[in-house]
Amino acid sequence: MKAGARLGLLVVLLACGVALITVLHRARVQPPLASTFTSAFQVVGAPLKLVDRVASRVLPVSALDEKELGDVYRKSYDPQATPASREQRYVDSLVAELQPLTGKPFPYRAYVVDYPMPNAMALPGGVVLVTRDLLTTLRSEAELVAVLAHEFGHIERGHCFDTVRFELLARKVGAEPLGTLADFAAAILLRHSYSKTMEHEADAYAFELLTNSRYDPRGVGGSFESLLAYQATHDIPSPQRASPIRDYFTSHPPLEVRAEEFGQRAGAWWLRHPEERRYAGRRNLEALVALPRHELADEWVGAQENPP
Amino acid sequence: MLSLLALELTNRLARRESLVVLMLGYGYLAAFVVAYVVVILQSPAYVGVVSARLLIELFAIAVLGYWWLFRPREALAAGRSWRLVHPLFVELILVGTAVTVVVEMAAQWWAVAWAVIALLLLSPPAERLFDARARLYSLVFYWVSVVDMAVVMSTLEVPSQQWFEQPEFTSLVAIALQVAYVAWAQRRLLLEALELPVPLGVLGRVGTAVAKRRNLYVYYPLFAGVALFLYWRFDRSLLTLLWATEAFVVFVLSAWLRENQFRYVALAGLAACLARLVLVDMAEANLALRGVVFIGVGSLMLGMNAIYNRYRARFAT
Repeated sequence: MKAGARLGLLVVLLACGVALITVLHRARVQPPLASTFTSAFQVVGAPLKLVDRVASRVLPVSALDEKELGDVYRKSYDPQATPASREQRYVDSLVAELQPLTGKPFPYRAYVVDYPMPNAMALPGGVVLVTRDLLTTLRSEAELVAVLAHEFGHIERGHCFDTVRFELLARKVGAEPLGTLADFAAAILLRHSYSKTMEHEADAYAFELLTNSRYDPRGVGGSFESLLAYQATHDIPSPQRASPIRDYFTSHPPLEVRAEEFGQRAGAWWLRHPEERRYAGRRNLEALVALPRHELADEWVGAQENPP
Repeated sequence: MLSLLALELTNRLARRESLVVLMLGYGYLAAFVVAYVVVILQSPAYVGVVSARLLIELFAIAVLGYWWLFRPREALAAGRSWRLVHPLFVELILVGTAVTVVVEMAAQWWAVAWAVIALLLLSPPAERLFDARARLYSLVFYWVSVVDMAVVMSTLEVPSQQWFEQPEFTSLVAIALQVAYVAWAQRRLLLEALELPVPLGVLGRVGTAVAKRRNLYVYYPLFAGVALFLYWRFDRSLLTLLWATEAFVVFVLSAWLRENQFRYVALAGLAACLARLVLVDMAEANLALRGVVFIGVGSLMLGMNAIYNRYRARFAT
């Protein structure tokens, strides 16, 4: 490159750099944590997860085998689900609202279970467990839908299938314990290397699902903020600085990072959709009556109620 | 930005001082990488509707590009540190680009992104801008695109009602780009005797191996990848028609590329489709679907016959 052209390019680059610094300074952009390696492990996990998916694809098992295993789980949890329970009916209504947005060839069912912590968990074949404490920790129906959508994301993106693929294969030849052992060994050896990638995939799925539903996309970031508030009131420590070993072995990205990312993404979404109205459903969650059953006019929010 | 200033300063100082400033420039770049990994990567931090992280990533790639294009004075260029580190800026730029795609794009667009990068790297401007290595890396991105399409896109579910966000559509775009890549690769992908920097000497052997068995490493991954994608993604009742369509595309490619081997592959694939039509579809599919598949496969066979008659000379050579 000629010296004149090179100097011109340098000037352009420096001008762009100065402009970028000015914009970031004026926007007061701050990272959620002082430092963390979890995001880096999340990126590195992407190619590792790709290799793991190759292993799942080459085995002669499919979503229909996953559905059969899901039926086994459903049979086991169905007696525990109290049809008269308001929480169970509420969650059933929400799952029915979300089911049309899913693509796997099985019905989804979420069970409200007793466990002394706000948590949710996905099992293969469309089974989701939601703790009763989660319903009191979250602040709106949109946040609960975000948590359900996150768990659906684990199933839809094949994370649950990948963790039971050997068991599914072994069931076909009547050697289930061997398959379970193989899955357990694979999980011990590999899971930490891409668990944060899977969590981020499920978060991204939840955000995508909310933007395609009637609910406020801020529910995804809001659910993490609610869990952070729970941590603060229960003195659960939240590390603010990076530690390579801890960040590698932790299964989830820090809540602060997830709350910030999906809060930011929702803010940008509202800027792109200023005319939209979306449902928050704070009082729906309090009353345990879902939007499909009871719509409250003042729970619809717009861009004004969601400043970036 | 500081690394740019340091780099520019190296051409204005005596050799000893310029070496120190060059090290300072490397130090600034290393500091950026550490800051990116532990701080910037955490959040997209939108400025309006634009991700601030994306802006930083694009700026960083541009800075790396400037480092690559920079030509120092002879004394510095002959130095060991410059000779060892500077050639690797091509790899740094490509790694930076790949990380940006993974971090900023939705999963259903990755296969498309990898195929676009592969095509860009195969283009003559990329070869002039980087060097002959760009051709080899274009092949790597093409392979990743094919694997991503076959393994990830084949089972990916997207909770969107927009047609352009559906994996079927994005995969179709990716396949079209991959076909364009293999068609262009026949003329452009020359991998014999690549001149590579010392730390990357082993890649030369990969290039030689690919050059020796080009069909195996360039064309058959695409044929197999598309067949598997169709198998895992679509309903079994449509498979015969979809695979027959793939055989048709392979047949057209064989005429386009004057590669007779692909014609036999396409004909073998079509024979397998006919066997499946008779043995599986006749027994399992309903009457309407059977009709559609029969008419579809028949039309494709007529099309292949027409192409063969029209371009017989191409097949002969």
